[in-house]
Amino acid sequence: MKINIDKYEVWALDYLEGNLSDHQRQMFEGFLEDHPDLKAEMEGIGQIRLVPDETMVYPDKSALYKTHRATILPWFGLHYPVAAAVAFILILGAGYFIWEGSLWPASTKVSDMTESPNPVIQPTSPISGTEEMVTSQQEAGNHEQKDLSFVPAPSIDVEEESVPEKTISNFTETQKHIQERQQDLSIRSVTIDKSELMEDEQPVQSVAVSTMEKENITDSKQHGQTVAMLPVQEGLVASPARTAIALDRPSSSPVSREFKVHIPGEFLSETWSNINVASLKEKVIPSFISKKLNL
Amino acid sequence: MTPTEFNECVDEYADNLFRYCNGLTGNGADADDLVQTAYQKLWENRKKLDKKVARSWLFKTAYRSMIDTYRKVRRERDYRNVQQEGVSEFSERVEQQDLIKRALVVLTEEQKNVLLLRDYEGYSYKELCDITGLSMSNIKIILFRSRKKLKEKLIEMDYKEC
Repeated sequence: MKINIDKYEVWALDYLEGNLSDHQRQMFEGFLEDHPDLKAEMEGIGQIRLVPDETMVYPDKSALYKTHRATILPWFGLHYPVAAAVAFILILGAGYFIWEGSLWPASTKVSDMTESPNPVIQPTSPISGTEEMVTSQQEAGNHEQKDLSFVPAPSIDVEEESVPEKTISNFTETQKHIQERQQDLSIRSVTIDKSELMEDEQPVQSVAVSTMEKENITDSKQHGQTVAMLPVQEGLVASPARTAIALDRPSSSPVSREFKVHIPGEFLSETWSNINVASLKEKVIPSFISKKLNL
Repeated sequence: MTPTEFNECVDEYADNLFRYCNGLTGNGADADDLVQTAYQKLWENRKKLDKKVARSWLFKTAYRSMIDTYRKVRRERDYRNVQQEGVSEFSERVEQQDLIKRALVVLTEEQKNVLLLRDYEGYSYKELCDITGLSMSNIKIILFRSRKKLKEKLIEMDYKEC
């Protein structure tokens, strides 16, 4: 390694500290002879040394000391098992509520059936009411009869719950009554034994019945006049003792079918379950009642 | 590093670190702060550090702490010193008896750091490279220039006092 003016400082320090070999030392001394200014500069640098003051001590070592404190962690090492247990309990609880929720409609049906142990059979055709209501009812009936024109027995009996008529004194009661009746609206499935049908030679495959075939709402202020009525059900019911409507589809053994009850006419696309109080009030209550009650 | 080993580090290195920091700052109180900071950081990182490297780690941390935080304070202090130059100059002369220590003010922080580590603690060039992160050539150049500066300053101070 050749010594030049740019790198002489590295050589100089090693020279001062005696870290150069003999050959290197001779080379550097020759370089200093060539540069007398650098030689003068280096004089005395070797004596420059910082000497620590041994009497100087840190004043307060005790402030730096640390004492070991054992920390008690009761959950130490149990984080994952505890987390797993909590997650399991949550999943179990969620599953229970889901399972409970799935049972709820069935239990409701049973309770509804038990609430009316003696259903009253009422004919569908004789409905009392205003001319308007009768007209709408007849239209609805005609519509169904057109659809089921192949039915051999025109007389149809419908099995339904007896709906006690309530008198409506004012608008508040009307609303309350509608809400109560809305809760009662439900879809019922009726199981019909095929063997019974065969005995009567009635080829009824499956039927459904609406618990709300009709509903009469009487306004006491309107002299006991029937003021509201729900249209007939979409499917018709048949029993061995009554006339049944034959459907096209073949069946096997006892069939349990469930139909959603639709309001014929302009409400065909809506089910009872989708109707809230406001829409029920708007769509079910006849316009002349709304006009009279200023709804 | 266990708490026991940490306390051993306090016993073995606290005085040297204090002298080193005192050389860096030229002030006992500031040196005390730097020592406390260095040991506090050592305690916080004790699980990652072994006692064998604690010594160089302490000096390195003290120097970096000085660079990071103390410079701001010193800058403000320098401003105040300029305002009170006439008063403080005399008092400094009375307080600072060691010429070499007084001459350290002419050195840069980096020069002081390398020189103190070399002369006070006796670190080898290779150890200085590890601590400072500088190359061997740079370490040697810094050391040579530091000594040359100190020599010039001492000559100047000796001339003034004489």
